[in-house]
Amino acid sequence: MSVRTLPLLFLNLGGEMLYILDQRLRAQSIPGEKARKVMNDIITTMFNKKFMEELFKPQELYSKKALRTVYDRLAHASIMRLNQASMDKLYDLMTMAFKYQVLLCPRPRDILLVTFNHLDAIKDFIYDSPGIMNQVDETFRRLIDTYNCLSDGEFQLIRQTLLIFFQDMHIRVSIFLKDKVQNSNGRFVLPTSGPVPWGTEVPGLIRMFNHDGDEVKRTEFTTPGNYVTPQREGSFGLYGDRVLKLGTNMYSISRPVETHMSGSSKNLASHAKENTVPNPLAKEELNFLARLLGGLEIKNPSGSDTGFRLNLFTTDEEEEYAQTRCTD
Amino acid sequence: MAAADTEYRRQQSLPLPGSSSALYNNLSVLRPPVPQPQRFSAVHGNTLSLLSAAAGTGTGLGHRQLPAPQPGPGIGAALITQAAWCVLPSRVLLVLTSQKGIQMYEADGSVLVYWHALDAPEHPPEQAVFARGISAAGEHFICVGTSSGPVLVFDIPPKGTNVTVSEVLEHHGAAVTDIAAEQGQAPDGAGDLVSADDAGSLCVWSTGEGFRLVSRVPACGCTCSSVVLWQGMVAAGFGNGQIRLYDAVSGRLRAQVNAHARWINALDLAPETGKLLSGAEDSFVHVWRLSRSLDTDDVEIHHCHTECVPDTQICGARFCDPEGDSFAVTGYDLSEIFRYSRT
Repeated sequence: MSVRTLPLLFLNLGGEMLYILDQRLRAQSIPGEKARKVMNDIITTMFNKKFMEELFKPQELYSKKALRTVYDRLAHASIMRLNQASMDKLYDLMTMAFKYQVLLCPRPRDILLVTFNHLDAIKDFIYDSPGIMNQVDETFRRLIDTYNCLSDGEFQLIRQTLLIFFQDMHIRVSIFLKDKVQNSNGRFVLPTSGPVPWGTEVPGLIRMFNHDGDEVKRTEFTTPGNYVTPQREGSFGLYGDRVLKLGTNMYSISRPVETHMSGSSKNLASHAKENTVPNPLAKEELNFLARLLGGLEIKNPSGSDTGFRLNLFTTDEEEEYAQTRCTD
Repeated sequence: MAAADTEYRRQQSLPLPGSSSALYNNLSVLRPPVPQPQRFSAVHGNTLSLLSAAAGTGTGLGHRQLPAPQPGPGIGAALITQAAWCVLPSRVLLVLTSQKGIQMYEADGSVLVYWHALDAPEHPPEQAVFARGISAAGEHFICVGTSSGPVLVFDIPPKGTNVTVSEVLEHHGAAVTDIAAEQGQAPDGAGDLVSADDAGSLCVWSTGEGFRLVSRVPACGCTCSSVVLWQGMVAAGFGNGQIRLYDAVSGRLRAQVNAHARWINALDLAPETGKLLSGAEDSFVHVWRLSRSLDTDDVEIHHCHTECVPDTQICGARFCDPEGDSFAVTGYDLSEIFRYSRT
């Protein structure tokens, strides 16, 4: 519906992908130089100027298939390789994480703060490369120019468009289950306590006025919720405290990346049934973006830059097992 | 006047063939005279689920799905923004609004009566293009809002397919969100239709051969997602969780409720009692009671009841009877319609 959704979808999913890759690179003890090269190559490709220009044009969201192809290309923009099972798992984790962030955003406008959190973290990954830093800052400014002026209603339309894209996805993620933000049926927990969004009042007060506008009566009602007023608003500038934690890196050495094997997306009955009407444009858009990404200079493995395989599972055996259950 | 908490109990849910989408006002209920079954509809992406339930027992009877028809060569099925039954003296039509236009079906969804395509000036457009906001108005009109602001007024013949656009109302500067007709007795000088938009502005109209703007509440910078009109009072639900009551003649604010902790997605009204239902993304549904004294002109709103649908962002809420003794609720990603009743 909203024609301004694609940049937010792409950047946030990309951000989650980088968090996961970073954690797995450490877990697999990939040498520091190689790991940094992979991250730099992917980020350079992601923020390519021509690609960003295309992305920010007003347009409908890509189909799920087209978007998945974009990330397949992106993940292989360097010397790292992933087999299909690991790529599937990576994509499942990315999408469930962003779905969670979109759902839990206090205000629709806070999706922008989530995006800024991802970009702030990306800048940390490439702090020692001024060339790429420039590209990221450029995108930051483009985001601010495009989105800071949108109304709450327009942001809610963007949010509704994203939620329709993520509808019916209930893959269980270990880290979410452990933190009790996701139930065992795959649905996210919606807390009924904590700070209300910036601009909302804590529920309870009823004020009644006469026809001259004077307040004549005031009553209170109670609800089971336990809400408080928020401290301050996050920053929508190039730098600043975003306040919101959604979109920051939740993985670390001690909190590894895992999904529940039994909830594997391949055999979930409720797995999203894609719009069955064949879209003749889908092939077109797939080719265009994939061509754009594929046409970018990819560092080929040579001499000391030998490629390696990244495993999204904790052991090679797990990955092998998952690979055999992959559908084509 | 103390507000007694009236006990509503959960009834059996109605299963939906698809989960509900995150939209405003994503539930419509048709209550024909008993013994005809009640009908429910909820939007799931680009399809509409239609259910019927037996009057009295409320047991599910069956369902069908309405696809939005292919709007043009080579373009994928359009996302539906809203669906609502419009009850006119002569007939009942089921109206669907989408990114491509407006469809009107017979009440049971069996026959497409009329299709109106929206103009899409450029492709792809700079701004989203869609229709949203549906209401019966007057004796023989159906009003539908659009994303650029204009409200289309359709003149509906008592039978057949000869629907025409009789007027275009141009007072909204932002995307229309909801439209509602007076459900009680409008006092003298009050309009009988209200429309709301993304910027929070409300327009009250007097319907007829030529629609006339009666009063206006200016934009407040906060989206009004849902609106109802009863006894000359406008009740409006906002994105910041507030419900506000306005006088339909003067446009003055008469009550302000800090009702929800998140965006309100649905309001409904029970015309026999003045009960108001609100559903929001905070997972709560509240029942309120509106009252207006004819002598003193005091407008009051009191809280009656709260239900929590755990871990659910509510996207639709409707009373299932004119007294407000029962109601139904839909939620994002939820594949059922939750029902509650006092009786």
